[in-house]
Amino acid sequence: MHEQAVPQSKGTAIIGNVEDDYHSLGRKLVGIFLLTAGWKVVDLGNDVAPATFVDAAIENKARIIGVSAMMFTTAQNILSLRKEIDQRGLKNKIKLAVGGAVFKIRPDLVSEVGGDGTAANAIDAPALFEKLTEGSNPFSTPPERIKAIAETIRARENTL
Amino acid sequence: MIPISIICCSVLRREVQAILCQDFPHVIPEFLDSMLHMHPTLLQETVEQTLTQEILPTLIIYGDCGPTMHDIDKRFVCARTSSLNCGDLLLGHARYQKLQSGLAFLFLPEWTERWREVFQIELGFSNPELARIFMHDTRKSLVYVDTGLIPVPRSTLREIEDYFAMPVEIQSATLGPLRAKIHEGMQLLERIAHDHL
Repeated sequence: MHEQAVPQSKGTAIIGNVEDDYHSLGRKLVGIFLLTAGWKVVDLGNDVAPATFVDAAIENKARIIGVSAMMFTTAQNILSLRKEIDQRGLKNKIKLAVGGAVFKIRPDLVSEVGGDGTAANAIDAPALFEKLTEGSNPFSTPPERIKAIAETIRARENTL
Repeated sequence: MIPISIICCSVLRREVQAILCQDFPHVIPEFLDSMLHMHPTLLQETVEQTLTQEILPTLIIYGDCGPTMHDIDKRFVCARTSSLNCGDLLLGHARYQKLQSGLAFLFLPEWTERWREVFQIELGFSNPELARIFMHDTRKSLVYVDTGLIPVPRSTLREIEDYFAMPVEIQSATLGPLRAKIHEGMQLLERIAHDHL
């Protein structure tokens, strides 16, 4: 019997189309490729408000939000999501990946709307998500803290 | 009113012509092929190339359909109707948004006539099975927008229903929202042209 290696989870990614955007195809493809690459994907669907994205990221301990916009007008709404992340003090904890047709034509928009990065297509999304979240796991307990807790427990057990 | 030109997507040809005939009969619009929508960069280039040949201030009846459409008035003496796309222009933002949040795919009259070109040639769905997967996965309903300028193309709508295995709902729309956007655009263009004089 062959045992299939279960890929280690790469963490949780929140994805959705920005407020006022209903072009779901690209987002769905990104979701499929992320799942295949070992991410847990929470797909919030179309027309997602900035606070909903951030609430979902906090609730699911996600280190990254992937937001999609098809047109220039709707891409501008990503700025509100950027502000929401920053205002809650999560700038260095939650990365913002942006995507959609308009970013392919106007790569300068990525930084204009406050994105941390983009990918040329859905296939490249997992690599982008990994790159953006590399080395960061702000919602998990840092190793030194785990070591300290373990030592405290051990010391307590020894005194019993 | 100052002399002006109009550049418009052919998807709204009949509707725009009907409005212009009544409200601005002296203006002769230039219509660009609506299939350019499938190639945003080419659409942008074509609109800008057409604008370079215009000698009059120009109203652009387009949505946010090209990558730099939003600030085209910075490069030419022109104004654009403020809207997301042709559906938004025709139906008005509130109704368009309601249909979009209900995941409706809109068939405007001109695109309905050209639906095979749109789906089979431009989007490449030569196989109806793939087209059905695409449509069922991304949309919940198909809506034909009847602007009352041509008879409802019932046999074409039946072909569309068969192709996507989804019913087409027919919804009537007046030209009111589009008329309002054109008038608003004309006023903006007058101000822009005045500033350039």
